[in-house]
Amino acid sequence: MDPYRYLPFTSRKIMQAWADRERPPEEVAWTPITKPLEACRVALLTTAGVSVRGDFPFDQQGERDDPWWGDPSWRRLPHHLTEDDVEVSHLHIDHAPIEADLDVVLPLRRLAELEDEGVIGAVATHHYSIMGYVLDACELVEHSAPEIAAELATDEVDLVLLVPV
Amino acid sequence: MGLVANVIEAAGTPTICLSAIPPLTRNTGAPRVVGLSHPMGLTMGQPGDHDGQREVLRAGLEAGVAIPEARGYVELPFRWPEPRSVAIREPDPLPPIAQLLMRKPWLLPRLVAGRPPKR
Repeated sequence: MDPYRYLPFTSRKIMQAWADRERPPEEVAWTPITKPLEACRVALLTTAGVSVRGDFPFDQQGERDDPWWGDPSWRRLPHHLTEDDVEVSHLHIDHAPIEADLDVVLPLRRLAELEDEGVIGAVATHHYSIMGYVLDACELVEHSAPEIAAELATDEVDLVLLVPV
Repeated sequence: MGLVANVIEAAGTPTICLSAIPPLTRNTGAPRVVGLSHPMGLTMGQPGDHDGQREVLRAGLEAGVAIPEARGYVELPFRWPEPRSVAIREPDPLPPIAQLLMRKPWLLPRLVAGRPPKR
């Protein structure tokens, strides 16, 4: 596949440069998946900047004020959400498809269908969102990711699928 | 996303990263990456295409759990049904960083280099 096919010209050049610049850490973590998929309790983590209506949305004004900054926080999401229950705060994507159908970036209903079909064991109680435009990843890596990791462990999740936008 | 996956995996929960830009996800240290050539913001498929979304989700999970070791990569065979020109949906207004760079294009190398101006 051409990994930059669906990016506009400038974004393509920037993403290529970023990918070329990154050097994978010498140690990549590895936790074996010990159960078959049909026995796994599965959670989702989207980078679409999804928050439950009424909860604090991801901070878009902060990014408008300082375009080099992106909100590195995270949100816990219940498993029964639809597009009517959420707010999308991500200034780098067209929100219209997500507002029409949340499952294009957070496929909770599709996951429930896979549970019904016996493809996975169970849908986890909670799911998670971050917002994908974060140039300085320190806060994300040092605070948000460990906090999400602790939640996943508490919720006895066997497998988490990260869904980017 | 790879950085986040690496932290979660290190804390004991296995991760699978779907990715439309696999070189970036792989180079940031994601343990399991499943490549998928879908447009930005439409990762699982078209709105309302429940069968297509479920097929992508199932294929992503099955491909991910079959990855045998760290840094493993699999590519899904799905093809996006629209031409590229239609599939690229830019937000309106453009992101703040894009607007800034249109006003001050000399800052572009800073973004490319990942060196934001000091705040």
